Amino acid sequence: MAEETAKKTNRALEQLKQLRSERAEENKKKAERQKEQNRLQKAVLDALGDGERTVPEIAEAAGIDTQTALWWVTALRKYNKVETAGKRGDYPTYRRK
Amino acid sequence: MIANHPVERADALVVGAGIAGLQAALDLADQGFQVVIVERQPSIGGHMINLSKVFPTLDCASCITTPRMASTAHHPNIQVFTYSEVDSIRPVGDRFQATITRKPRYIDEDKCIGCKRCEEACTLYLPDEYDHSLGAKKAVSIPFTNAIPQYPVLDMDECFLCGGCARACPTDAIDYMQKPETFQLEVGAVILATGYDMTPMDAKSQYGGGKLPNVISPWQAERLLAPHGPYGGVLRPSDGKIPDSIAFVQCAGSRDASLGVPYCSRVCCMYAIKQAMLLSGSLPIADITIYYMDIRAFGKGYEQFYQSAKAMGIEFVKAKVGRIREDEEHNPILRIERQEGDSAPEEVRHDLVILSLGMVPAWIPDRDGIVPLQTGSDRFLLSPKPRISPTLTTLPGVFACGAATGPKDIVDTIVEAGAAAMQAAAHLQRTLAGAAK
Ligand SMILES: Cc1cc2nc3c(=O)[nH]c(=O)nc-3n(C[C@H](O)[C@H](O)[C@H](O)COP(=O)(O)OP(=O)(O)OC[C@H]3O[C@@H](n4cnc5c(N)ncnc54)[C@H](O)[C@@H]3O)c2cc1C
Repeated sequence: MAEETAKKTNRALEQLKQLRSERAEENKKKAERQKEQNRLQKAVLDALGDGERTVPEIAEAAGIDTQTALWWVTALRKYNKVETAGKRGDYPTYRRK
Repeated sequence: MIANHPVERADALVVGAGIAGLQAALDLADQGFQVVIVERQPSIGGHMINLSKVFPTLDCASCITTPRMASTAHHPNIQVFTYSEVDSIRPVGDRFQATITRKPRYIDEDKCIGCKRCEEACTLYLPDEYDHSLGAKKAVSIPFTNAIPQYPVLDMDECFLCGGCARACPTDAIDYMQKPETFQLEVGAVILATGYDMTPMDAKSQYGGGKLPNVISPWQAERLLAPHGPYGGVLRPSDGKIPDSIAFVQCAGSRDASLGVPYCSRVCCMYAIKQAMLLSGSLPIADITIYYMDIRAFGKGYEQFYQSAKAMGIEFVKAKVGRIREDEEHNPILRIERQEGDSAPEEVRHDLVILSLGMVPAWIPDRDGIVPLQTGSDRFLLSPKPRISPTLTTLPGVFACGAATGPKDIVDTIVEAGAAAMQAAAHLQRTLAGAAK
């Protein structure tokens, strides 16, 4: 069973090798997008720091627009990196998990 | 049962696994017929599984739909193909030959155990269709928590081939080179339960053409209200503010010949009232206004539901909304013309606006000759005897039910699905008896 598993993993990795060479150009663009996503994600998490912030506060600290900030807070909340903390004025606040 | 391998023969084919398709399949399977379901989405459940609560009882939509999804998926007489398309259905004598294509999930379904480790390992975030893009998903993800089946789909158009999912998968189920698989299925009857779609948000440029972040679709409103909604509460998409003033614009895609939807979509008044009541429950101090032409509360208990909404303080304003623009803080500003009294047009500012879009058919099977039958001038499936046999189609042996035959609520959908199953069962008995002679 372990042998079979190792063989199959190799198959997936072989497939990746082939696809990466076939799609090199297209993949470069996609990798750029991933880098940009990493940057935005880090900016949002850094903006939260150790505190509790609203979406407009996160957006200002991260230098991004509020819609993008909300989308990232939503994404990071879903994947357990951020949680809702409380409320300030008309806005919920968020903190890192 | 969830089917991962082609099936050659069955008694009936049900196309679409919304509440109509699930009900029709269960009604046939409980009579002993072998049923194949083909659903184009990765999960069964249709639109109902996406709703928050249902009018007029305000029961939790997912609590009603999930058990039916589970009964279907575990029924010994039902084979369910998800993420699959019907390429064609052709009559052959008394029976039908269907060509079906299973789309690649890039996952070996026989090996996948639904552990989500691929999803955890994936680093690429994409807009989540299930939350109507308000939320995010990963490039490889299980569509939603109670999806059936619990298989992820890998979006190979977006994937940048980091290999994280393949390394994380404990059963080596990732298959980056999986291909679509087409097979033939022979059946004795077909039920089309392909449901509805909505007019697009950008259909009306005078309502912002889909570009105003705080003007949202009713599906997005359902997700905001759902217990596991994307934001964990009702917030507006432009900045995460808790809205204090919310408006519904009725007939924002129906009764509008310019959009090709001259008919009434029937359920919009009721879902707007439902959403308004739910909003008022979650945001007790918010002002909620429904701009309407006339309220159509046609079903059992619906008029009382409407009256309760009024008693709760929801404001019903008989007015035409001519235009929607936004101010610099993305607050939607509605230009309205009241239909009662003789006041001049005025502009009203809200924090969030929901457009009650028109319902249109999700699938037009006569287009490209996929199934040789007729649709009506509204493009919904046409019955040759709409008064006495609404579930017939123009092709004998092919039946239709639910929102595929025209806009309707869940109760009417379920009733029609039962009727379609009965018609299909009678047709199968007749053709089987004919063959035995
Ligand atoms: C915002 C909103 C709120 C609503 N709230 C309520 C409510 O509270 N109470 C109520 O009674 N009604 C409500 N409704 C109406 C309700 O959604 C419908 O009555 C019900 O979902 C119709 O079910 P259906 O199975 O006919 O269609 P659908 O739910 O549309 O299901 C059709 C299924 O067929 C699949 N499909 C389509 N084409 C194909 C194809 N070619 N091949 C394979 N599969 C295909 C689709 O993917 C889908 O899964 C609401 C509607 C809206 C828009």
